[in-house]
Amino acid sequence: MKGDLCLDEIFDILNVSYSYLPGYPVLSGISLSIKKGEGLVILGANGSGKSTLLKMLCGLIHPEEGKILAFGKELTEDALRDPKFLQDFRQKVGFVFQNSDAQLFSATVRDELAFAPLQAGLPKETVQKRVTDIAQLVGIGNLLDRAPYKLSGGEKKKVALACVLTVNPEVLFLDEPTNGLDPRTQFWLVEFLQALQTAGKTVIMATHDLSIVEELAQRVIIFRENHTIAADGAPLQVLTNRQLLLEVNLIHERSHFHLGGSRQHG
Amino acid sequence: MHIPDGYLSPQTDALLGIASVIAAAGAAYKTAHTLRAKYIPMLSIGAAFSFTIMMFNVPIPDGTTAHAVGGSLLAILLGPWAAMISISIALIIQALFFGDGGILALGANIMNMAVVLPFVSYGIYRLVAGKSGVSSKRHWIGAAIAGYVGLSAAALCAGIEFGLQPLLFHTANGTPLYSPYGLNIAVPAMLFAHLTIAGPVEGLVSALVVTYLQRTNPVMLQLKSNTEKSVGSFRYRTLIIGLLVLAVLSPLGLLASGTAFGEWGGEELQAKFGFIPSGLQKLGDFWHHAFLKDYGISGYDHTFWQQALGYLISAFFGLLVIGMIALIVQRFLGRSQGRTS
Amino acid sequence: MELPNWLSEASPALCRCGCGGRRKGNFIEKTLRDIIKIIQEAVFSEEIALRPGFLQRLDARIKVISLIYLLIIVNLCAHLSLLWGFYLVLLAIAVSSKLPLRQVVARVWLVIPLFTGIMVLPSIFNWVRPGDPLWVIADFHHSLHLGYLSFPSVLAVTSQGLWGGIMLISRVGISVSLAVVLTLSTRWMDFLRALRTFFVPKIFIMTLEMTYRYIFVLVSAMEEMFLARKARDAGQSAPKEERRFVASAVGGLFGKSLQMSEEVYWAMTARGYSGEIRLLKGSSLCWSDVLVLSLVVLAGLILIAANKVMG
Repeated sequence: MKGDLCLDEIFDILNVSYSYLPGYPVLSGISLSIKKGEGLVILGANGSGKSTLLKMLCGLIHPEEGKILAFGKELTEDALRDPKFLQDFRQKVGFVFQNSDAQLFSATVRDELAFAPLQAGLPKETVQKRVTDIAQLVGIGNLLDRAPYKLSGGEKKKVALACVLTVNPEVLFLDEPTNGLDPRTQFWLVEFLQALQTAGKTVIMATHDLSIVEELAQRVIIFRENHTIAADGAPLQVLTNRQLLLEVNLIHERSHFHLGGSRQHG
Repeated sequence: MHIPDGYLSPQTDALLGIASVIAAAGAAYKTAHTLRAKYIPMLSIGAAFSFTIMMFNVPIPDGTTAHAVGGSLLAILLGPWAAMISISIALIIQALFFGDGGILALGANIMNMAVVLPFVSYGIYRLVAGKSGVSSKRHWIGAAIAGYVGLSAAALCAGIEFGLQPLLFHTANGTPLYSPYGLNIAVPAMLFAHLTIAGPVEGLVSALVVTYLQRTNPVMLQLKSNTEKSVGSFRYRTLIIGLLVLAVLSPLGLLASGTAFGEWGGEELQAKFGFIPSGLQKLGDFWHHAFLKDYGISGYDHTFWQQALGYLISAFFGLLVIGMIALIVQRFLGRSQGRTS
Repeated sequence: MELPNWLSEASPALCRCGCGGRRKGNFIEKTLRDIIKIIQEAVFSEEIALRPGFLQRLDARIKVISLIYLLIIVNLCAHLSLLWGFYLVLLAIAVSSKLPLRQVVARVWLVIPLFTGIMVLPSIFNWVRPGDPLWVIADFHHSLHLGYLSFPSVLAVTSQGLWGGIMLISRVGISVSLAVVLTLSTRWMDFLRALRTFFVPKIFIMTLEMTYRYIFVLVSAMEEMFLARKARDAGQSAPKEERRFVASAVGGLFGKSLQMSEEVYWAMTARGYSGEIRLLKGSSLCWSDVLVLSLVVLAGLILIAANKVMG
């Protein structure tokens, strides 16, 4: 499967390594490919490199070794200098960051939602329509003229999601999306992402929250603490392997994680 | 150190404002070439940081607390140009939303605290630290001296700005229109306050933070040298020439504008319009002249300003009446439309 | 898990007799109070700006132009009657717009005369600034010498000094009032947005807006640091240690700021930012805004003309 490009493969990652400081790799020799419409969850303990991989797929950082093909074209710093490719690529992928405070940098929610479509060069009327539509959809219509610092954690996450959706991305990356959310917002988020998946969007998440896996993933990848891939497969197959989950430090010896009951225990 | 509105004449404010805009343009150009696309978030958060430092209360030996400006620290950490933009923006937000420092006086405040302070501090810090390693003592000693001297230099500038006011702007009988103290009082007073308390606090904070970073995160002290190494040569010359021209023009400009707006004792104006300044005792007279025309003293009616005043007042009330009528009509129409629909 | 012995012991009982006395509020308290004040001010002004009223309805762009224009006029006027006449009109408009008088009047006129008054006080005496004596305080019959300095024999309040002082206090107070009235009646965001329509470069506006946004993030990070410090403060710390804490807080905040700026840069890039900024522009002005602006311009010209006429 790997290596040969079929049409519905959107990302192809070939033997990629990366380190922020020399001698301390965060990714070493990762290879995998991601198909269109796939619900992919990347699991791993803190610091195992899953966020780095997402940033790399989004073209924010670039591999030191190996290469990444995105939509059939190699994703490099140089390729992104081509304005046409950059514009297309940024419209195709959206990234919801873990830290909403860093993601929401505009003075008002309305500006936040308008930022990406304006950058993409869409006409003002379209931008305004999209902003109101998405705000309605996500349920933040009454917050449009608020400043982000006045929002609660859950509201911030909704705004963060909305501000990515306004460019209508094909692929959605989410880094620890359920972190710090109350159960109600968490539930809302899962349902919302399921709806996006049904609409044909590719949703790729990095998390260590096992409870959301079975509801959103068709495929699970587990990172080992030495920054390599420990497992890659269907959720049922991966998450029932208790020995593996222990080995990669996702569960503790005495925690009772099991499929199906995850929402109660997770 | 934050100069409020009213202490400086608008002419001084304007000049310092222009000088600050030129310096800001230089900084924008310079940072755009060093930090590229990354610089907007970097400068914004730098400005937010600089705003936040000004909120720290620092315990001082007599048991009370004092504030630091933090300008020298920013200059050491981000370099003088980025520090300049960050501090300017922090000052603008303070003036607009928190009432710290005047809005017209922003030019003066930016000149003192965002231009003079970081540049003097940075120069001294570089001079003392030299090429020594990051963990060298020379870094925190340099930071201490830089903070102390930088803030005192800023205070000196403020003192000069204050001191020029009574020389240039006063009424015919010598009543000061703005800050009343001449250079001989304003400069020593400003310097004394800053050399004894604010300066040492600024030096202390800079030195302590630099030591802290030396101990915990030395990489942050090298940010500056990493980012600015790759700079293409910026034409300082243009900027310096611009600032020099302004420096030469400013006393001239101040004097010139002082007489052009010479309602306070410009003799040419008296000669031209042929009336004598009525003085503060006759304040009430104006209203009689404006509204009870028959009271007019001969000579008054012919002056340009007298006529202009009449026209302006008529225009003002005319417009006001038109506006009122339009408002009433709009309300009325709106209501009748509401009723029909 | 095995806990060390000391961790399972109970902590000493609280002393209820109050024998320790009271400590003055320290730097932690002061800083926390400042932080809360900033946040309160932001929330409070937003509330006022949302009340219905004449000033609140005005377009923010008109208010920005008027503010700067009127500040220049106020600072050019050299007659107390004109300044105070202007102030009364401003006050009437503020009251009719339901701005809180405590904020608009009390906070300005309780603070300004005090600070500016102390600053200006020495200048009313002829020993500091020579002038025509208005009220003689003491007559020593011979001139006084103190080192290099020599003072005239009479100590008096000068008319120039007194009027100059009153003028300065009035001017400062009225300038501040003008700024307070216009910023209180405008949402801060609208004020920033108003700048978009002027000649201000986009980069500058973006930076200003982002600064405004991140002040609150950094201030709440700072609040957390100080609260954590307060929770562990047993009142025993030496000033030296306290200063070291301030330094580490500043250093830590700087680290946090840098990390934040990196993340923000990624967040911007991920949404298509590549150096050029595009912003939504505000709506167009309505006729009443233009009318108010013309009235403001005329009022300013009237003040200038009156100032000239009065000489």
